[in-house]
Amino acid sequence: MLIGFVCSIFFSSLAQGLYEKCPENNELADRAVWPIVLKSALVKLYTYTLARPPSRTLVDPLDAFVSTLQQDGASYQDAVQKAGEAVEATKYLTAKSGRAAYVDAETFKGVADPGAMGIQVILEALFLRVV
Amino acid sequence: MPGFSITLLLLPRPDEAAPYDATQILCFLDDVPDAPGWKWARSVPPDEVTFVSLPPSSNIAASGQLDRVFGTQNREGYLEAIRRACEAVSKAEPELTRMDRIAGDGDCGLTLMSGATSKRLGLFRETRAEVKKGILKRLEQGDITGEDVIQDVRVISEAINDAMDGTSGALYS
Repeated sequence: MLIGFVCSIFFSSLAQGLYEKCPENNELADRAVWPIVLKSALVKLYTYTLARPPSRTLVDPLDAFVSTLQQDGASYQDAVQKAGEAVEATKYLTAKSGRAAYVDAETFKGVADPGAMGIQVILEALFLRVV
Repeated sequence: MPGFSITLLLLPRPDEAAPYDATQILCFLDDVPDAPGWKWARSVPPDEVTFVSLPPSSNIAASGQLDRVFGTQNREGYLEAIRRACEAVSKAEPELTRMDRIAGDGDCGLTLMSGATSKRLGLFRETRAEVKKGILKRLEQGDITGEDVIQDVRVISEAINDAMDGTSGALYS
């Protein structure tokens, strides 16, 4: 899956979501707001791609992250961890969309999807303290 | 061959700083190729280029000043997190590229990195009229402030469209 394409749609949908879901002036973008707007961005992204988890694309960790955040009491770290598990699982998935769907599955068995890994790199850097 | 495909090409507008103007690009496309196996070429001159103005976009990522503001709980931490993410992508680039060479076309890491840091390896970048700025550059420039998350996400979205390759720009707006 084209990573530039996905990032572009996701972030412009995220801006749109923040604007529409923000009820009043001077609200804070907090733990209550992010799950709603992230979900709306993901839903928007899904109108452009047929990839759904498990798909061996970056949708896998993204969906896992956003879905986990929907649960009350789930921390960002929990969501990042779920996303990490989704990335790990791409190592043994056959690609259903994206470039990897056209190449011989044997050649990349055991290698995580690079787009999914890219998402995970971003999520970990955003939410986990660096040592 | 069953089916067909349509390719859309966004031509530079008359007032846009671009290495080639719309007519030149169309002429290049219509030029007769001498590559073996590429026999077909359009034999009629291209139609005249006409520009149409699009109605204002309803997408707020592309529109002007907004009437609302969304603050952050921890401004320093928020800005630091964005910086960390950009740097992490940059650091991970060789590994992502290695992985993408196995199953893809090897551009995943570089595409992500150019969105993050506006660094770009390759032939075409130097011919661009201006260097396209990635997220980190916009952060350093003070365009991402933490005072309004909506505005910041719009800037990030803009940086992605500027600095990341391929199809990204096409879908925007």
